[in-house]
Amino acid sequence: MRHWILISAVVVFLGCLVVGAEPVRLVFMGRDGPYEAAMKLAISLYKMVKPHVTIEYLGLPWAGLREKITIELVEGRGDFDLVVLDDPWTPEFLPAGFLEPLEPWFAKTGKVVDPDFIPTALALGRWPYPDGTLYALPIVGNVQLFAYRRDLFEKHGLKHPPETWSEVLVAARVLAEKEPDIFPVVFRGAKGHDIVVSFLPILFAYGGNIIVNGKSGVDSPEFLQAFKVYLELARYAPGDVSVYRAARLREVLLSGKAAMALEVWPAWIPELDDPKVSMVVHKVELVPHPGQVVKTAPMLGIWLLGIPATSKNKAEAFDFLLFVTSPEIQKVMALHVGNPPTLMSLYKDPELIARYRWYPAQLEALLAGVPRPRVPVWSRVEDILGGYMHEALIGLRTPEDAVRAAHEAIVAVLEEERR
Amino acid sequence: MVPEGARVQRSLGFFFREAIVRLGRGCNVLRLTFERSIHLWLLVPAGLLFLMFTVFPLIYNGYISLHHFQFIRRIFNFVGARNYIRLFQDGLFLSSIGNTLRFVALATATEVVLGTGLALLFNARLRGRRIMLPLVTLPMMFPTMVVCAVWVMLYDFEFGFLNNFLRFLGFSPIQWLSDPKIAMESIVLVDIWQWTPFVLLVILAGLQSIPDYLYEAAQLDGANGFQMFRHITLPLLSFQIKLAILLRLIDTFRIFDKVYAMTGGGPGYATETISLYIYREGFRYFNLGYAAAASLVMVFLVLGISILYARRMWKELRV
Repeated sequence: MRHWILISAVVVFLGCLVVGAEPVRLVFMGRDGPYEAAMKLAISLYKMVKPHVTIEYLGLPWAGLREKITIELVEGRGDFDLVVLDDPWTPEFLPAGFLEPLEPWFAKTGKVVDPDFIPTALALGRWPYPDGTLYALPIVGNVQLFAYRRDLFEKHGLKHPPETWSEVLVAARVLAEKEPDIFPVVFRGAKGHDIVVSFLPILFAYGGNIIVNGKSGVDSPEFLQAFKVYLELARYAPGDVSVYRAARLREVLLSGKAAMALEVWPAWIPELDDPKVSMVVHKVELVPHPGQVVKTAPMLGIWLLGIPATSKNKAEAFDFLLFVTSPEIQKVMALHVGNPPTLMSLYKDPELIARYRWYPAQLEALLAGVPRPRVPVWSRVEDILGGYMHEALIGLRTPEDAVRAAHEAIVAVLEEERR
Repeated sequence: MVPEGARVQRSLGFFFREAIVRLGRGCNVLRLTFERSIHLWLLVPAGLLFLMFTVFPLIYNGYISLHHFQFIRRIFNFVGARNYIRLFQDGLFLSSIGNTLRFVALATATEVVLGTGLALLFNARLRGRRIMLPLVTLPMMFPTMVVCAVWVMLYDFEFGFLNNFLRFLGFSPIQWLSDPKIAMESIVLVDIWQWTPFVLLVILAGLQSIPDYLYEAAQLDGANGFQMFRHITLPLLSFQIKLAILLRLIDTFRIFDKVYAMTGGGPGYATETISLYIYREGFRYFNLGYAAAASLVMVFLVLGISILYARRMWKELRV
């Protein structure tokens, strides 16, 4: 309740300042689903503060958003004033100067970048990464977490949370034997993006990466070792794990049919402890990923908000950008729609922790998080790797063969990119 | 002697009269020409639209396909036939052609056979036909994405209706969408479910145009049911059947939505089709030159098959 009183006070105060201002219409292109709900909540609050500003929100699915943003930014028609970007898109868009640099706007308005922003998330809005010019601010603090059923681990005397992937394998073997009605492991195994993303925490824990210093890291021994562990874990997963995407994983986890999920994004499951939809209320723990050769290293999946360089309402767009990333609004979006914040202090907020008990673990994961490689051809690399890894998952190739084929194809793409 | 002024006046009068007559004749010729070619003039608006929206994009597509066109980085360099050479060296593109042809053959053949069978059944004046016919045609009215979402649930390995039914009967469950050996057939099944009613309607329309007296005469001659089907129904239906094959062939060649929504081209690359390949190159990587080359190959494949088939059809029809 307290946050509502605070918001109302801010709204009334700022509202008084803008009475009589010229009407402005901003067009905002972003994601659909829970992200849209969060942004629309922020827009409705902003309307109270700045009644003269109308914001039209266009919510699109991931692929549609990427297509539309690309066309809008390259054509430079200036139809949009705010655009949401997934962090792997920034190496394509930021060097081309499609977004407005934000530092001059901070200087012009006498504001500073909030030092409370999670540094790993803020760095993704900069180009060159990680400390160049700031082009976008993080608005969704997504990071992978490891999920496991505490009740089952305790029942079978398993050490928890597992600290290494070897311990995860041991737990999977024990659970497969003792809990025949439950899948010991679930993960997103669908071809392409899903399989690559679900594998990354294991790869990072083994000290590998897909691109190392601009070259393919897929042929490294670390990669192969991590991939073999991944395939070993797949033996304890559902028979059709190779078609699992986020929605299916969420369904299986909430229905209590899974003992461990290799990766879960908190934005998917804000209702984990809601008895109306969850069969595992207070039974699932979300923790940072196990390590192996190196300490835990989950993958970051940050959504950023920026202003197209061709926008005709940059001042108003910048004002909204500050509003939506402010602690008050991020807190409201987290409480009401489960949008993960991008400010460190909010992960320590008692009211938010009471609602989302995994927030301290999420902050830990965010601070240690590793982004996907910062290369402009990431989508091609991801598709190549995701295709060959998928062939190994369904038994069409050996892990060695899949890794070799993926490496050769990635090398060719990177070489073509350099030409 | 005629005065000079009058002579000039008369020759002027003659000139104008002659001019009017000739103009009239000219107009008449024009009118007649216009009337004779009115059918061509009526085609002009459609022709212009065809030029604007089909011919020009096709030519422009061909032009782009000769360039390395990276949309995001605004690179546009002439590369000649390099995109085409790369295409035919790409194993994934070649296998996507194979997968597409497999889909086309399986879906078209099954839909035409099933659709013809159903049309014969509905033509037999059975009871309840008026209620059943709209129900049978319902699937093709549903949006494809809804159809796919429902079938993905039906195909679910653990909780799907089909596998639960198999388990109930004592059989092992099937990995409908995750087994590379049958994933394509699972998608074909969805297409058959959705589009067989279309074939049914085309064939049924043909069946209902066959006059009854032909069957009556055959019955008088002592022909049995199979003989009547073989010698009357089938020959008179051949145009409708060929038309249904042509329409389904063109439509199935473009298969994209079902594959995109149900498997994303997987498992592995088992259901990767040409449309999906083009979509990925064009709208995920924005390699527009390369995608244009791939789409042109696809257009010529469809066009080649369709023209050959359609020419044969029209020739038979004329005969």
